Amino acid sequence: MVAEMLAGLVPGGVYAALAVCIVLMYQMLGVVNFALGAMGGLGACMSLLFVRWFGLGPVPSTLAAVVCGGIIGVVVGLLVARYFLEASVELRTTVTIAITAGLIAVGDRILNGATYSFPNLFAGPSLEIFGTGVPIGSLVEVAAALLLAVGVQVFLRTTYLGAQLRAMSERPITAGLLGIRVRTLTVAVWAFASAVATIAVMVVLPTSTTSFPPLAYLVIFALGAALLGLLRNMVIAAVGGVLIGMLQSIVQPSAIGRYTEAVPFAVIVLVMVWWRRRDVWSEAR
Amino acid sequence: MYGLKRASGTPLAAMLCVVIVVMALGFVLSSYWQYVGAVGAAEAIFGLSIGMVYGQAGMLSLCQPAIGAIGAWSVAYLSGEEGWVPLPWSLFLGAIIAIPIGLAAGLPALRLRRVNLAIVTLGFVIVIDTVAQAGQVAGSQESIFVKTPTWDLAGYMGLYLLCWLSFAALAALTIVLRRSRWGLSWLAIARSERAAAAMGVSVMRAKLTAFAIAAFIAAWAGGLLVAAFGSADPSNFDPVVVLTLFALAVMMGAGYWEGALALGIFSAVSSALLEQWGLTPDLGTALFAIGAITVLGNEDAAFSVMIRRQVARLTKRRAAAGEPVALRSFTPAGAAATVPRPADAGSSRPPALAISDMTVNFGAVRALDDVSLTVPCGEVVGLVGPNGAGKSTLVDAATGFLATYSGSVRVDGAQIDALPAAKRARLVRRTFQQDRTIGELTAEDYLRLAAAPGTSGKRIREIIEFVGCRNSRTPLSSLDVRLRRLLMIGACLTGAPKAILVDEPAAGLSVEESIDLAARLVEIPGRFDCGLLVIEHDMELVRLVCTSLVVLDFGKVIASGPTAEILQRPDVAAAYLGDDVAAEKELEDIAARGARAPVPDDKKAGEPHGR
Repeated sequence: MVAEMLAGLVPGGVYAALAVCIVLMYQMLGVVNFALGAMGGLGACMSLLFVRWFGLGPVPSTLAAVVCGGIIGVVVGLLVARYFLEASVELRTTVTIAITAGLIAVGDRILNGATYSFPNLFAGPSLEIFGTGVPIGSLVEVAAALLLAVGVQVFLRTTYLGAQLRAMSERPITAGLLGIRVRTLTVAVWAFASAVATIAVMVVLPTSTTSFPPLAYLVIFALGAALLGLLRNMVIAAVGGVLIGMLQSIVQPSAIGRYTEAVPFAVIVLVMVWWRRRDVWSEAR
Repeated sequence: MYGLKRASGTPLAAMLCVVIVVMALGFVLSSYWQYVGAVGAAEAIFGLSIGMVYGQAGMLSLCQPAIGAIGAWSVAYLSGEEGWVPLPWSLFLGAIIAIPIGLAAGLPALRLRRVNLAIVTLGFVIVIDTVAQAGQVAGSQESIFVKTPTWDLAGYMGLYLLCWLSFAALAALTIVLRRSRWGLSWLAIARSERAAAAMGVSVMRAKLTAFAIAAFIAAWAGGLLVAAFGSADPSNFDPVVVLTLFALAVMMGAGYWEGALALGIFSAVSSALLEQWGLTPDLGTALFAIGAITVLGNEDAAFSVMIRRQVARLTKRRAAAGEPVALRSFTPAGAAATVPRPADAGSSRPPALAISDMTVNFGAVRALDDVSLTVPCGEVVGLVGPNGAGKSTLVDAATGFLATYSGSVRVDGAQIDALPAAKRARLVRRTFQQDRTIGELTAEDYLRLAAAPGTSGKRIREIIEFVGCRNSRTPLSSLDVRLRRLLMIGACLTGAPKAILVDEPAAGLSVEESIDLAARLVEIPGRFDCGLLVIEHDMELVRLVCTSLVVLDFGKVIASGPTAEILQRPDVAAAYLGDDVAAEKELEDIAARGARAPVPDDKKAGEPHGR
């Protein structure tokens, strides 16, 4: 049991990092970004191309991939900031659903059929915990995800830029009239989230298959985790992400192991319906 | 049902004509294109399913195409190797089996909405995908042969006809449902759940019926795909396919049948062309994504919406919205004289509405403190007080929109505290401060949705006439604010309630329009045999229509009695207009002059603040 739980730290950390970005984007930009996994996945795939085309080593190709992830974020962010700045949350979210479908098509093109090899970051030294060897890499990863959650919240609360972002999230037009550069900040948040997502997807890239959609689907569990944080609290979202990873890992060897992917959602639906049990009506009044 | 046949006739005939042309086209197509067309019909049916839940009922649910997998597995199992059930029947059985699954998928929608619902329903897509990948269901691993009816026709013509006949039948179902009470209730919950419940619509029933019927339709489409592909390949229902179909449904505006039809034809033909040109279908997916994003940038760009606008322009059916209606003037004596009082009005009859000892707390704030008031049958009672006094809270509590309150509400002698909002609407109706009419509906449809069971068409037309609406076939979105407000009141009347609570009916109206409203309001209790509670800041309107007044301040009743007497009281003036001698004087002036009150142009800015 403990061994399985610890093995779940790797995917859990990935979900956590993506979930923090989802909450950040929802809070700052009013969009639930279904495309985050596909954006990070596309960035991560770039590293494979860099290895193949230019023979780059793992570290430079990883750095190049993160830059690519950021650029993908800038492109999508510019699109959204240009055409959907004043759209409703649902409309912007539907846009990201369409973007997801499009990016998966592009990612499939890049990965289709070919086999790429990439060094596994977690093949390194491991630490003995409860009699189980845990790769130090996975502990670092989870710590990084939790640190990201805390760090982003502290950044938003204590810095001038954080205050500008919060102002923008509450009243974009008023913030714009006050001289805050709303479009630039919007694109910056997209780029940051996409770069973080790229790093997160890089973590699972070596162990995943050669097909693109599973990388894009990582976001689904992250969305579940973000929902547990009511799309509001990054720390709960991050912890939720880690727990979902662990839950999947525990279920995997059991009798219902075939349905590993489905189990977290059963839990998320129950938790969400319980938390929202008083939301009988769609509007407050 | 009233108006249903006539109103659905035109779109139904148009749809059938188009489908007959498409079916006839099949006879000149090659076998390959017949096959493509058959798949297109199946995808069009998925479009109908998405259009029902998202396009009509406004629920951001992504899982409809995934429910198609239930139909696919059923058909693979029932009509596969063993061939227990021949094809058209297995489609029907599969669709029936999918209904409980659709209901289960819809349950979270009772509490989760918008983006939350999108995430949870995407989880449902993953669940279906996981089950398919696990390979425990019929046809998900091995290829199976499902015998399609050939009707002695060449090539894939049998399959082609089966698919397009299915589309015709299911599209006809959606067209008829759109104008039925169920379909109207879907539009109502998409607009506002509270307003829907206030009209007597059960929000739960509306949501679940949409999910159940959409599941039936999606499963039918899933079954057709198995008939076409010969297997229930998991990749037909994986998240990419589901998300792409959703994006396409948005792009085409699948809430209308022609949008769904366009979705099917566009999706199948573009995939086939890309295949013929040696390009992989993922390019098509990328193109659909771009198309969907373009449409989302301009919601009127959805294919079906553009088509409808063009057709309306060509047939010039868009009626002139602004046929001027003469505003009624108000003569207090005359009005009082012409109001027929119900014969049995008197002390023996229980009051239309009796609220006793009502207390409402929001956390530490006491919004209503031991409030009691009575609205006798056949009378108009005014409820006034400064903003935040608790007037709307009282309406919410009385009509069942607050989870908890203490005290009791009786309508016509019957205690209604245990009833949910939609059931209370049989006895007591309310309006909202904001415009909560449903823009897509005509006045006739809107009132039909709100009507009590068994209300005749004649009665509905009478009420439309009573509120002064002459454009009963024009969508409400093209009517002015005044008419929409009056129609909200008209919708209350069609429910034949014992008591009606109107919340700030004159907000945003001009002085002349307010007087017209007053003339109509004062007629309601006698003509419709009910009691009327009017919440209003417009003192002139209150003075004209109310026989008695209740004044609320800080959640407490500070005065109640005959209107003229109450308006004279200095403590009422102080609460209402602030502790200001000039303000008191102003109120006395209003009462003395008996003329129009000095209503500021900007009502919001001019609203009284008592604190």
